[in-house]
Formats: sequence, C-alpha cells, structure tokens
Amino acid sequence: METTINVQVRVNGAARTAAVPARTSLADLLRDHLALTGTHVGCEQGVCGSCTVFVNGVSTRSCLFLAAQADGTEVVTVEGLTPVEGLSAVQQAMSDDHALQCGFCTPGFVVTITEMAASGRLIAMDEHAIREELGGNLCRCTGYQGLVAAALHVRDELRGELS
Amino acid sequence: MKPAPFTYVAARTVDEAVRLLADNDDAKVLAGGQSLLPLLNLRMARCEALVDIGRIAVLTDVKVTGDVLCLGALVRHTRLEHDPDIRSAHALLAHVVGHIGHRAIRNHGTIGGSIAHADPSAELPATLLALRGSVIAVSTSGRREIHADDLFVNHFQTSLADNELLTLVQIPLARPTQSWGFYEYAPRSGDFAQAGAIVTIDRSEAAPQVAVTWFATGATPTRVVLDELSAVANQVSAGASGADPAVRKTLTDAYDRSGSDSGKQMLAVTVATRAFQRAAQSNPAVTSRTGGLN
Amino acid sequence: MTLAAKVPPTDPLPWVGRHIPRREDTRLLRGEGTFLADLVEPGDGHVAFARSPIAHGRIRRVDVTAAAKMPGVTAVFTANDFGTIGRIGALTTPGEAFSDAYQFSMTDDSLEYLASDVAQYVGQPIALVVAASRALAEDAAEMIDVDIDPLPVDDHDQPKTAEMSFELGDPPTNPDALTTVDLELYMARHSAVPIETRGVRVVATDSHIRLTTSTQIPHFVKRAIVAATELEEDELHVDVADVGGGFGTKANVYPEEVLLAVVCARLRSPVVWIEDRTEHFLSAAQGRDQRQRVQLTVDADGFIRSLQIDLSIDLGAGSLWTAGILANSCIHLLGPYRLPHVKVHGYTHLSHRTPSAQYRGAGRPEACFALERALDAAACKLGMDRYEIRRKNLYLSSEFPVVLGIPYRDGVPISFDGGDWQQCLDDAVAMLPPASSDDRATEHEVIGWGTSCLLEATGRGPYESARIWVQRDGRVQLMTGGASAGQGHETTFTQVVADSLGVDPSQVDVHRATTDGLREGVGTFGSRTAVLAGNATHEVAGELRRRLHRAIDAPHDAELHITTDGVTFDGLTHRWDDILDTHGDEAFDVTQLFSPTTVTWTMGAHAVLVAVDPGTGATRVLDYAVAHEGGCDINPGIVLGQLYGGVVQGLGGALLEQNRFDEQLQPTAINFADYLLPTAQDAPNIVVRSHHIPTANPLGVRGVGESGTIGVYAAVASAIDDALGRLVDRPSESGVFVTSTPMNAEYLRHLIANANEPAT
Repeated sequence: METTINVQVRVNGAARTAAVPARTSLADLLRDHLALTGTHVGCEQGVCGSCTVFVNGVSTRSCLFLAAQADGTEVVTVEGLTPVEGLSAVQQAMSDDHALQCGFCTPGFVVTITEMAASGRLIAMDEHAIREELGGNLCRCTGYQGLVAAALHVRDELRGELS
Repeated sequence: MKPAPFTYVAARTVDEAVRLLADNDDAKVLAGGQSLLPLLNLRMARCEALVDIGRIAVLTDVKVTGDVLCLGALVRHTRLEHDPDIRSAHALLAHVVGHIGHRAIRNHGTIGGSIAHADPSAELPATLLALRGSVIAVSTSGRREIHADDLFVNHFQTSLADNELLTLVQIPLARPTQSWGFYEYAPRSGDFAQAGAIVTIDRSEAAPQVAVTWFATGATPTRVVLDELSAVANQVSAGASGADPAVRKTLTDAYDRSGSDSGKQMLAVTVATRAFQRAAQSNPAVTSRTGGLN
Repeated sequence: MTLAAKVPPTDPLPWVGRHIPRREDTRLLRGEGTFLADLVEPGDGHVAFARSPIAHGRIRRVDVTAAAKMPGVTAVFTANDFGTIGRIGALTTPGEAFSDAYQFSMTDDSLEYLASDVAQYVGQPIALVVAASRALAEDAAEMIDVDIDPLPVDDHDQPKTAEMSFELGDPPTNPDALTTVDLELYMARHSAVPIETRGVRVVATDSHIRLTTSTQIPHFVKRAIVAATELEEDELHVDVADVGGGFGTKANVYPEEVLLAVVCARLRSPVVWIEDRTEHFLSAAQGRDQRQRVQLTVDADGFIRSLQIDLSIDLGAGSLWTAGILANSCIHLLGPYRLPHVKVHGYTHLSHRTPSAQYRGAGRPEACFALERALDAAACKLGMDRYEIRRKNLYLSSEFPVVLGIPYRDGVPISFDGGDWQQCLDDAVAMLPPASSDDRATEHEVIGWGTSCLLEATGRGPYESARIWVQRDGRVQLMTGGASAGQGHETTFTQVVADSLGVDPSQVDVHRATTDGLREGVGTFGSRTAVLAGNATHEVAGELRRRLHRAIDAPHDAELHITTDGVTFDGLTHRWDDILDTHGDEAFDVTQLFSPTTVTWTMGAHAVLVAVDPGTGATRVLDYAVAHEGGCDINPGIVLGQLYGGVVQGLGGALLEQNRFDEQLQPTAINFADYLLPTAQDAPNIVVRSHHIPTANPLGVRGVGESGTIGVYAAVASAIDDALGRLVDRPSESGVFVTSTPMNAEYLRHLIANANEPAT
C-alpha cells in the first residue's frame, strides 16, 4: 500500500513542500514535483553521478536519497549554482575547456567540481587527485579531457586569488 | 526502476527504532542508504517498512573508551577519512575508506550500514575482522556484543537478528607494536574489490602474530593467523623483498586453508603479498607511521 | 547567447575553422537543457513493459487480469490488442552495384515490435502497462503473468542473415618463400551506453500524433512506424529533444517507439516511457561481437603480399543495419595499406542475444583490430619493428588517388585520397615514442607501447537535407536532417551559415530536426553529418544568398550586408518586411538535399603507452596520441572533442566493457556495477595532431565521429603485447599475444599464466 510523506525542504534557498509517495527519491521529488529538471537521472543506482546535488552542503546522489530523508534539509541543485544570467566560474571553465558535449551528465559534474572548489580541497589537488575526484561521475562523450582541464583551470583561478 | 512500495518511519531514538523493528516483520533499517537504496531501486530487495535511523544523533558519536575506539553506527565514511581523532585511533580506517566508492557515496555511507550489509567484497567488514573489533546490537529484549569472528555468516548475511539494530562499532586502538598493510584489486578505482587483503603484524614480545584477512574471495571475509610468518616478517622489515618466494608460499598455503574461492587464488595471493610487504615495511618501531603506504 | 561574447562580431575572418565556444553550452551548463525526460507533464500516462524473461520461448499465454486491477493503471496492452503485429524492417539495403561486386546476399531479419508468438531475446517487449506514474506502472507490469515455454538457445547453426565476399589482386606465386601468420580473433560484444537512456513521449491532437524520441534518426523512426503500423504518413510527426548521447545505439528504430505511437493513437492522450538502466542493458542495441580468422602473408622485408580474412558477426536477435555492419567490417579490411592480394569473406548470423545496431565504428574497429593484430604478429615473426612494418605498407602520397577495382557501399569505385599517411604515423610516434620505462609506473608494473593505423570511410550518402528560412525579425533559421546527440550542431552549422550566407552568427538559430519541419532526412551516424548536413547547410545558405541578390537586384557578386534590420547594398537597406512582403516568405525558405558523389576517407594513426601489472592483470593507460588526417575542421574544438571522446570510448571497449551472457543467454551485465564504463581515472591525457587535407566536397570536410574509437583496440593490444613480452624470454614463441577483447585483468592473467607454462 502506497503511503504518502509530507516533505518540507529548502531548495536553492526557497522553502518547498510536497506530499509524495514514501518510495520517491530526492531526484524524482526535484524533477517531478518541484519542476527542477536540471538534475538528471542516468542509472538510479548511484553510479553515473548525473543526479548529484548538495544536501546540507555535501554532494549527494539524489537517486540514493529518499525525498523523505530530505525532509528538513537544505538542498542545492545545478539551478541553485547558476547565476541569474550567464555562468558560474565552474560553468564558465567547463564551457571554455569543452567539458561537455551532449550535456546530460553536465549538471552532475557542475555539482562535483563546485564541491571540490568550495570545500577547499581543489586548490591543493594535482591532476591525479582531480581525476580521482571526478571518477565518481560518468561522461560518455568527452573522454574527460575537457573536464579535467576545466577543474585545473578552476584550481588555478583559486590559487591566483589566494596569492 | 522505482522501488516497490514501502512505508517509511524516521525513528528519533534507538528505543523507537528497535520498537519499530520489533513491530514490523518485514522492516529494513535505512542508515546511509548507499547500499540499500540501489537494491530497492532495482527491486532486488523489498520490504514493507523502512526504519530510517539517520536522525538519531547519538549514533554519530565517536569516543575512545579505554583502549577501544567506539564509533556510532551512523559515522559516515567521509568522517572516517578525515577525523583526526579516528585517524590517530587507527589509521587503517581512513585508509580503507579511500577505496570505497566516490565522494558523494562516502558523504552518506555509514560504518554501521556497511558492516550490517556484509558485502563480502566490502572493505569495512574485513577491517573490523582484521582489527579484532566487535559490534553492539540492540533490540527490545536487550543489548549484546558480537565479535567480528561471529558476525559474518554468508554473502550479505550477518548474525544480527531481524529485530536487532547495530548501534556501535568497537575497534581496539592501534598499538605501537602493530603495523598493517592493505592492498586490493578492483577493476576501476572505487569499485568493489575482486580480491583484497589486510595483513596485520604484531611484534609484541608477549604475543607476536601475523595475520591476513582476505575479502572479496569468498562468502565472507576470512582471517588466517600466520604465526610461522613472524620470522619472515622480521626479515622483510629488515630489507628483504616482500616478493620473497617463501612469503608467497606461506600465503598460498594460508589462502588454501582459508576455504575461499580457489579460482581466485593467484590474485588473492598477489594482493596478500603486497599487503604483507606494506605491513612489514611500515614497522612502527622504526618509522613514525602507523600504517602502510598506499 | 554566449556565442558572440568571446569573439567580436566585426572579426573579418571566416567563421568556419574557428574554435568558438559552443552555443549549446550555456543552457546545458545552467541545467536548462530539455532532454526527453524533462518533457514529462502531469497527467502523462507512464508506460512500463513486461519483457521476455528468457532468451527464446514460445508465449503460451499472457494474463493481465491482476495487472489491470492495480492502482493507477489506465490501460494494459498485449499482442492480442493490436491484431497483426507489424515488423520493423531493415534501415539499409545495398544497391545493385554493391551487391554484384561483393556477391552480397541478405535475408529478412526484421523483428516484431511486440513479441506475439515467440520471444527472441531477454528483454523483448511482450506487454505494456499505462499508469499514473512510472512506479505504479512497474508495480503493475510485475503482475503480468507471462506463461512462456523455453525453446533452445543453442548458439550453433544459427541462421546466416547476410553474406559477402570479394577478392582483389592475385595470390603470391612463391608462398614458400614468404612468412604467414594465422590468427583467430574475437572482439567482444559491447555497446554505446549513453548516459541518457532512451525515452519516448507521444501526444495526440485531433489531426495527428506527435512523437518525441531520444534518437539520432527521427526521419527513419517516422518511416519505420508508418511501415509497421496503420498510422498514415500525414498523421505522424517525429521530433527530438536534446539527446544525451547516441553513438549509434540511438541511430536505430525500437519497438518501444512504435508501441508508444500505437498506444497514443488508441488512447488519444499523452504517454511517456523513460527507459531505465536495466532496460537499457537488456534491450538497447549492442555492437561488435565479431570473430575473425586472419591470414597475413608478408615477404622478408615486411611488405604485405596477401591478406585473407573470414569473419562472422553475431547480430543477436536481429539488426536493422545488417548490411551496413557487414559491409563496413569487410570493406575496412582494406585499411590504409597496399594489399597486392586480398580475399575477404564475411557473414552475419542471428542468436538469442540483444539486437545490434551500428555502434561507433560499426565494423571499422573490428576490421582495424584484425588488420593491425596481423601486422603485429607478422612484425614479431620477422623480428621487425612494429612501426616500420606499418610505415612500409602505407600508401605513399605519390600514389593518391588510389583507385581500387571495387565499389564502396554506395556502388561508386573506391578511391582513396589523402595527404601524407606516413607523416601521420610518424607524428603519432613522434608525439608518443616507444618507451620501456616510465616514472609513473609502480614497482609492480611493466610498460608497453603500441601503435595502429586506421582508414575510415566517412560521409556516406545517399543524402542529407537542410532547410533555411528568414523570419520577419530578420533572424535566420536552419534545420537539418542530422539530429544532434551532443555533436554541437547548433554551433558548427551556425558557423557554416555565417560564412555561406554572410551573416553574424548571433543572427542564426539552429533548430532540432522534426519530420514536419523537414520532410526528408537521414540522420546523424557513421561520421556523416559534418560532411552531409554541413554541405547541405552550405548549399541552402548559398542559395538563400543568391535569392536575396535577385530580390534586391544586386549583381550576383555584390557584397551584401545582411543583418536583422535587412539587406544593405550600395548604401541602401531593404528591410525584411519589405523583402518578404514583395516576394513572399516562401521565396526565402529554401530546402535542399546534398548528395555526395561518394564517401570521403579519413586516415589516422594512434600510439599508446600502458602500464601492466602482471600480478593482477590490470592495465593502466598512461598516455595516448592521435595523429589525424582530416579535412577542413568547421570547429577545431568540436573535432578534438570527438577524438578525445572517441578514444576513451575505445578504451572502454578495449579494456573494460562487455555485454556478457550466461549459458541460457541471460544477460549478466545489466547495471553499472557489472558493465564498467571508463571514468576520469581510467582515461589518459590525449594529445592530437591534426592535418587538414581538404577533400572533394564544397566545405572540404571529412568525417571524424568514429576515428577516435577505431584505432584504439588495436593500439592497446599492441601495447599489452609489448608489456607482457618483457616478462618472458622469447615473446615471439611464448604465445603472449592478445587475440580478444576486452583485455581486462582476468584475460591478462590468463595470458600470463599460459605464457609461463613450459613449452611442450
């Protein structure tokens, strides 16, 4: 028997409520109930990384997180990382470095690289460490070359700001 | 795929959680969800009720009691990786966590969940076994301690009863006479291992011991004590190669005794040899390191 | 949009050839892309399928009673509800000239769009449920009771579906004085696995059905649905949303597309199906799965004297691209080398595995693997350098055009043109020279180096369409039949229009292909779209320009200044409203087909450095180099992206990926834990050097979509041989030689164990 759960969650800074079946994932809550379709679903088993969002500040597979678990949390999606106009520094670097082709995995990479930068880890990373961090997101188009280059550029910008 | 329907309750206390488990014949515990939710999504696992323990704050406690590190079941992999207190209590935990999945998985995966899930190719159950740890299980009828030796029964199967909640993971603190080495082979970094080994060397005069714990080689992690290797271990730490045929021979015999999958013998011996080499080379009496190199 | 941001619009350079940022990027990076699943609306009927649980079986009964009573279910359909079940037929059939030259024969291996009597593979649709949500539809689909009697799944004596052969030149007269290698090779089944799964949404109006699908070929989808169902040509429109990767698996027509169209036509309400990952591994088309027996004869100097190959391809339960896959495999065995004698025989056969389509390369990587493996074996036997044997046998620039006495798939005699193929190989080797040690290797690893050459027919016809028109606001609109699956068409075609019409790129909008916006179209696959849709775009833009000249009475060579305001000539601006009122909007709405004379050839050379751990069998790819002889690059950044992505996809197939099946032909790699895609950690840094050798089409472009992938398998195999050879005394006799893919750790451990066996 389907049970319904009431969820209150702050998404991209705004308080949102929804009544959803208990089995609803956070990904489906965002996409189907809150009309935030920037978060993509590619495998529903936590491997591809396309559905990655922030929950309470840490990257989260929204396909492996129930909407019910998100009750009372702060969620940030790719839409929340995007300025009103134009692109964030991470997004701009990804465009400059040809870090996307079809664009389906892209929002997950935006979240992952943003977390690397915001957590302070990226600034100390070499290419090997960057590849390891990006290893949790699958991309089938780019061969990762542009993604690694974009992360390196974001890192170099962070280092420039520091010095 | 979407999961089959279930009810969901977020327990606020351990008492409430174990009461819910007692009241529901077909309930599953949801901790970090990083192993359970994929199985539910694929409909490879089903349950009538999910009892979410993720909001029980007491289960995130970390403390040292005597010479034991006590980790609440909800301690996340990321915390094992970065918490300096946990690192200094036993650096092997942080080391193995680096091999589990990727960042977003480690942000939510929990030590209790991983151990209770008992995936034979997972690192944390093997670590618990290698470090002679135990867990505390609570139910409406009480609380009991289960030693790692008695915990892992079969693939994805532990001696926890359906109505028991794993609340605490207890790991003896690292001692200055101990060293360890870890090595696993996985097809890609972050994947479940195809074979892995943890070698522990205790050089204490009272009870010297070398042991190897294999994982991903059978239905459960298995630990084999290799007293006869102590001499070899000392040689290796004095500079002999870990690829010494005598070491390999001893490990091969030990693997055969372990009852693990014979088809994996070559790979299992290779990873154990490398783990052994690392353990032998990171003699805590000689270096300040408490563990092996990656 | 972003396009003009970085490049001042007054820049006088032509736009073609420039690495400008992609116009697609902003919306995709902002999370504002519109993929199929993003089109779902409240009230849509969600579809889930009951699929065959076994690989081959006679369907005795399908009971939907329980399913129909499940919560939220609005309809359940089985074969009984559709009367006669139509079939999805071949998407390519070769012409007479080809068939005659190759003694090509082909049987019908079309598949029913719903298994009515006999299920032919695990995952074939048998029934479907429409419900209020996907979850409820899955609940109900589980309750469909399919009573199915197993039939044999024997892999032997499966029927041949197509066969072809050819022989060129004469066999050597002195075989005893020559060296022959004889290999049996296998390239395992693997597949495209785009990160966006398939998906279909269909809506109905009073007059028609509009089907949106995640496809590379909307026009084929429309034609196939019309052929397989009672839907009329005028009743059905097919279009595409943003497509999240295709690589050939979405250049196919699927039962789900036909079924959703039929169901929507019945229900007259919107229905949607978003494939889940498990369904993808069960039922999205796969590729490769080719066995080859290769005999290569060389003289003492390493010159090729004869190549003889027999190959067979397991297409699974069927393929709509049988002729293409077989012909690609056989013809590309010609390679970039001088072959005084070549004899090829190949056939396709069925099995009860997942159906096949043209996965990136579609026969070309397999052919390259056969030819290059044989060259490595011959070099080894002669004690010759692997680079040297290739260099000796490559055609020289003085030999172009090389006209072979046999036609391509289009019936036109094959004629290789090119620049300097030896230079291409030299470049690859110069960028990544052989090495026997590397700082990055661990104490457990040995280093190996390998190389390969490839030649790819690209830009095959028969045609592609483009339509250009001008809106009242002066914005120039373009649509081509080449549907984009991430290739950046909005950017590249904008660059072409900017040059060929003479406008600023910011004035151009590129639309996705729709079958009502453009009646004719072929689609994007086979490294064809830059060549065909690119040139079609060039031609319609040129025609529009000529019409504007005439409309304002300007001399044909006069320079017009075309902006959103209007067309300015000789100081006078003709406003768009005036132009369009005078001549009619349709006068500036131009549709044309571009039909190439024949294919164009792209050559490349790869080099790779690997580190192999003999203890575990694991291979790490340290460095990769591609030298590439393409034509004019419309956008060099996009060309590089195709090469990088192609290489890493090839590495996946070479080292990790396999669609595996058990003895009962149950697929055993049906999720991302068992089917391993390469991650950023598995991918090397790739260096590319491009040579631009224009070719005989108006833009001078050559295709590039598959070149990155084709050479990888062979280069990696060569490098692994090299690494493993260091472990044994006499590699040429030890049997350390890669003969199959994937070259995963298990396979390498097997090779090593065999090599260490004492010789008997």
